[in-house]
Amino acid sequence: MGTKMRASYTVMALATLATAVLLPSEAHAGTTSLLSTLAAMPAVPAPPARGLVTETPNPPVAVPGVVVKSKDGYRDTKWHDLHAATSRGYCLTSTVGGYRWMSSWGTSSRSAPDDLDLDRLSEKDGKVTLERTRLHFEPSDATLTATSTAHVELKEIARTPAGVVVWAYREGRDVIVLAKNVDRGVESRPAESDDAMMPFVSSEGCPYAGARMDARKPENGAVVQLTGSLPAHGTGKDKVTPQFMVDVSLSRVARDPEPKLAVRVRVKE
Amino acid sequence: MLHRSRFLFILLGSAAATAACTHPAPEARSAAPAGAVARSPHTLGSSRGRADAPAAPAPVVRPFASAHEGSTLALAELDGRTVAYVADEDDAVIRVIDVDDGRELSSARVGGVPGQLVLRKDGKLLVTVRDTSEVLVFAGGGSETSKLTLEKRIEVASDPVGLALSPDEETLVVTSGWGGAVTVLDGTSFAVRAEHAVAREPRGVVVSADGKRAFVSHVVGDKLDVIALDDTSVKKGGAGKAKKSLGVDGVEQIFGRHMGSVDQNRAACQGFALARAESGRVFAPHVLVFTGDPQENSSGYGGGGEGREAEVFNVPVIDEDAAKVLPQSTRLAGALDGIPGRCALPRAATVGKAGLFVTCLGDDVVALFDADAVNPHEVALGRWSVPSGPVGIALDEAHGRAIVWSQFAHAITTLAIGDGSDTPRPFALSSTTIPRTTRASAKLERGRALFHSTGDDRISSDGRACASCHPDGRDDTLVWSSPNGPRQTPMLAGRLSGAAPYGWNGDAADVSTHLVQTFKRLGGKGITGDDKDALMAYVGSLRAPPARKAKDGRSVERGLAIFRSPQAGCSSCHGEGGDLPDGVSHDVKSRAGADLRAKFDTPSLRFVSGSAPYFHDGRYKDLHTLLTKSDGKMGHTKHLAPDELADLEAYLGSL
Repeated sequence: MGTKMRASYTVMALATLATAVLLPSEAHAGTTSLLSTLAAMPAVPAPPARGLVTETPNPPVAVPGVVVKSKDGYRDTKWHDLHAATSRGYCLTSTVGGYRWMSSWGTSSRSAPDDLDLDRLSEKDGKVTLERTRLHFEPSDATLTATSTAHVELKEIARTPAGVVVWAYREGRDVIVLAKNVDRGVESRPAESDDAMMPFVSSEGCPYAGARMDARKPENGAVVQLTGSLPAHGTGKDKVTPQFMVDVSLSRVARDPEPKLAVRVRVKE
Repeated sequence: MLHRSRFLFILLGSAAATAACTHPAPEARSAAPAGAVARSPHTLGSSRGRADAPAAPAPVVRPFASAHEGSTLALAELDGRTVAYVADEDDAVIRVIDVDDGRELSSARVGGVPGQLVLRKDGKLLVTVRDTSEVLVFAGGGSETSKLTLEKRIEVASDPVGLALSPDEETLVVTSGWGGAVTVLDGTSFAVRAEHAVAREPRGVVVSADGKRAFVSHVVGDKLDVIALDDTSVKKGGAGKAKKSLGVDGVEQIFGRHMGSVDQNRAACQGFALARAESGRVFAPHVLVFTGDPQENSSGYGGGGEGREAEVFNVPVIDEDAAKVLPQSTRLAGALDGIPGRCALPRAATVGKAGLFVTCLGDDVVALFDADAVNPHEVALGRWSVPSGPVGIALDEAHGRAIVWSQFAHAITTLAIGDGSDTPRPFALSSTTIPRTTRASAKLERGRALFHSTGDDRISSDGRACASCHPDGRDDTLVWSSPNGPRQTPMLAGRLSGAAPYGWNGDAADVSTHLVQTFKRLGGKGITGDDKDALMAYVGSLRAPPARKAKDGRSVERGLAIFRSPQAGCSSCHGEGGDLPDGVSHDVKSRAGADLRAKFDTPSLRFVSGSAPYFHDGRYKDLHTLLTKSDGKMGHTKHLAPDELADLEAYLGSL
């Protein structure tokens, strides 16, 4: 070297730098999928208009995956609870406002008839399927009717070593992103929608949940997010409940032959 | 209900990831005692190579692909070694540093403050020099035996900073901050093809893959320019159809108690950097601020409150081919669990397989974001603490590392960034302090660090730093709500001396008092003692913008005569030259609804032409509007013919 300038190269040892980095035990995992690779859920017939008489089997046939329990309510009313068999992958869902994924749902015998969906997530032979049964519930006599069913094969769009798996499928104008162990999430809904102010996803006892992403204008971009917890590990002071966050965005620039779905899963121990 | 619950995946301070150091042992680089700083004067363009080195063949320089995009740091392979070319602002030199062993191979003075640099494939180094308003072309590589030699000087508009080469090197684009111009040059002959007048403080620039357009960010304002490079019809100072602007201001979605949402606009600032990815996406990291409603009085500067962040980091994503902003990328989704505002004072950016890297000067961090996401700012993937003042970054992906230049600490840092795969990797980090050529004042260094330090509760309660509103010591062009009414941010650099009293109402007799008052309005606890002295010293030393070259010297002379004339009445308050205000407050009929008082202190007119908008509430967008609309309220201009008005503007422009 030989010059004075080179005389004072100071190497800061790592320990003295105070410039360390802590990453989560599992930092992140990301994938990018093309929109065309997602399967579409067949359109489920629209529910009958309120007030119309619904044709129901007589006697009513039990709907697999859900049971109705009734008890006495206030002033000669009955309170009906529908319980989904969550251990077998069934959940009740409602898309009024934000997407709600529920293990049970209740109504009064004096309420108007309701329509809701019963979804079932099943994994078999390496394939993951979401089956949807549209239900019609008549509170006055507690009859539950399955009016139609459809199913779609889910595409796995991300998987982490810690066990977070994210699936997606298409339904109408939306892409639905789904994962197990979700607590809550945020949807991306079109601005003109009446429920645009309610973009929250909630999971109430359902072992999985999904969020809708408006896929009509991918050139504008759209984002959804799901957060949840993985099973705890360790005991006592060492017990840790890892939390995860799934960020999914849909976008398309002119150079993209088709819209892309970018998925990023981050896990915090 | 706000859901910014801050999913803090990444914490600083652990030594867990420090085990794997990629650097050689310290003793390998510390043969000479620390502190033996060479102070030999070196002439412009000369290199401190080995004086007795034998003649050697010209070195082989292979620039990395990213070296086409301007930064304070560019990487290349030089005679088989990976070297960093660093634009060292403090010492006014270009340094050539061996990245692997931290040795400085050579350096070259540039005769002024270097802005950014790029490398041509033939190894020629192009450097902007801010205070001389030039681009310098160096050859020679800069090894110990082959000096960097100055080949050419190119004059461009005032205060050139950013620059970028097109992929085919046919075109060079230069942004001039104070000059408010983008100059397009031939990439080989360096002949000026066009000079576009643009909004204030153009800075970051990237050229599209096809070489047909350049994207230009602005340090202040909410626009991003798209310059058509194949249009040579635009001559100096023109714009024509060769430029269009994209809005990069933001919208924040806020949820109320009853689950309804409203959209709140946020203004853009700190657009220092741009980065482009081969995917056809251009990233424009900046900050979105909420100025509040200037028509209402607020408790501090800006609206704030209700849990909203004063400054939020944001990364608009631009479709390179369509030249459009993806709308979702400028939208802050209030319900998302993210890490908002997690890059304070973004200064440099680059994209690699792992994602978008941004240096954050305000918290001395390099942050990594998901470059595939349409909302990268909300998908933070990594964070490294680095030595003070990170202003440049370049990737060496072949070796899985990023190289960072920290101007304040005068250090080169290597980050292990992995290979971009899904598999998490441990991150290693090492750093080398580069000896300074000029002895820096400890007080000024401390003052500079304080000026740029975010999260100091002595300065503000919401984390804002001085540099948040005064980027480069200048101003953010914004009008903020305040307890006293609307307040436009004043420029500091070069404008404080002789301008007492301070504050729009002239409440502070000196800078020190004004600092105390400002920090109080920001909710800060206040700075005292040595730190206050250091901050004041730094503020007083802020580098003034370079003089703008007058297009017509005689017009300036005529304008001075008008300025001094009793009929116009300018000099009666602003002084004979415009830079010595009378120190008195006047009622110039500018009281706004939220103003508590009607009289405002006469400001200094130094650098007035580059600090629009004007008046305490920013009511006049430019000088011409000010001169014509304020007639009778502040001086008289009605009697002036158009050419006389132009002369007066020319004079003000020369200040």
